[in-house]
Amino acid sequence: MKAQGTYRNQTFDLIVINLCHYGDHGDYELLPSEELDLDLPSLAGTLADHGCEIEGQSQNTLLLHDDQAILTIFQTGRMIIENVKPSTFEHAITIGCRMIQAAGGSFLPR
Amino acid sequence: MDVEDVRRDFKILRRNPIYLDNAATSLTPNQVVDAVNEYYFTYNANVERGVHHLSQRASEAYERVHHQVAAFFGAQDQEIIFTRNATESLNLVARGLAWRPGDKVVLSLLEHHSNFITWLRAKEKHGLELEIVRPNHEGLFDLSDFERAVDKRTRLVSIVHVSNVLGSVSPVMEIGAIAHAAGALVMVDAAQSAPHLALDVRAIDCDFMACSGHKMLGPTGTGVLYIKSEVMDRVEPLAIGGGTIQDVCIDGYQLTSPWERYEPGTPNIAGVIGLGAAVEYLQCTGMQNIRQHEEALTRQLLQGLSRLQDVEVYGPQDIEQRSSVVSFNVGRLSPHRVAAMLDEMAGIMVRSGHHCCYPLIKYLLERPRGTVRASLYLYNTAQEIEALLATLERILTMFD
Repeated sequence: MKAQGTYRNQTFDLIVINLCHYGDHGDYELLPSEELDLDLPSLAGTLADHGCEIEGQSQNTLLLHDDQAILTIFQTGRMIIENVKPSTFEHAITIGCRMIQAAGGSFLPR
Repeated sequence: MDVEDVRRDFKILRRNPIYLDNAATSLTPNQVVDAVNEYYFTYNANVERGVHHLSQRASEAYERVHHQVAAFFGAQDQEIIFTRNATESLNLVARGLAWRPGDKVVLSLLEHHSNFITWLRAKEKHGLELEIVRPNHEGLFDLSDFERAVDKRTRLVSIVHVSNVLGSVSPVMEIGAIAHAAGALVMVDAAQSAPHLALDVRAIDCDFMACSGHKMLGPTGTGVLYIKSEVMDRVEPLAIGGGTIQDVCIDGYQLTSPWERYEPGTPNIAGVIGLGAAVEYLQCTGMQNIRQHEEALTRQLLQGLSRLQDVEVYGPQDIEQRSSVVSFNVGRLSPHRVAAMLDEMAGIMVRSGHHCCYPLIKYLLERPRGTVRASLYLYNTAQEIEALLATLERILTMFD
């Protein structure tokens, strides 16, 4: 399953991989087809303003969670999204798209 | 063994990836790739019963690997059957034996799903009784519990030799002796031991042994099943067809002699030829040398992890009782998070999750999100272990 988006005039596909998980929640990896060079400090600020709890961050990595999922976001745009419920590709993509949009990107309607 | 010499044999290592996911699949040396290519480039033909010279050359090469693999495991040529992987080998035995309701099969909580759900299905289908032996707190096989579990109703004991989560080594010789004394057959899941330990099926006296070629430097889609010649007649082939028969008439057929009856249709000829090159590579390097190298790296890794605050390591601490599979968790970070950060921050490849071992993860480790697993092999280096430890330290500082 894929979604197509743009970030700083860069078009990319967002590829979703179902990770090994247990129980009724799902764990997913979202992988942009191009490296995105996200501005993580700025993204952390935006997401914190929207109610996300920032757990830790470095120059390349942002760890956070909200009431929908536990997220690990890398500067490259790669994301690990855990605790996704309902555990569907669509829901994982929706969460991932929300993160990219918070970083200033956009998505084509699916 | 000079690890730099070994690394030169793996073209994929020229870019210096830090590959620590060997329990899932090993890398492939140039010699194996060359052997597969040579088959396709110079004698690509089907095996057995071909008159032309390419078929004869392919048949010779294919049969030679039967001999090589048999010698590698201390078996006779006709006792070795090529399958797709250890999973298929285990399933072949589970489906091939003639079961009676109430027959008992003894397993352990250390089993991979391949040697667990296979038996849950057989239980449903044939009315078997399953008894699951729990390891001790370190993940070591508990012989006294096992001895209590095995009785006269036990038809088969099917035990993993090396845990793919904890690295613990099961005492398969003692297990076999106890099982045989009760009249039971013994199957060893050697998927994680065959690539790393010298394994002699006659010495450990098992009736069946299953392993995967792709974890021991061979191509994917190659597996081995050893069936002791004395029990071969008790195992029905999983499928029959071309290449498996002695005679066919309108109302019947007669299967051919071992091993051919278990390898229906055109086999994975190129893969098997590659497996032969892999076995030759392991033999030339020396299984003792590989074990020694892995022991040094495992010791370094365990000592390094023990120095990191907030890292929980699972499995036995005694190097003699474990392999080079090391599972751990880092603080409150999920295994997937840690694995992704290792990959993203330092190009270190490990596995995360449940490692196809839900029962062990749920009932022994009680870690619902699983573990991070680093698994080492002959081409890994002390510098790579240092890189792993340093990156874990960096990850931990993100939460200071």
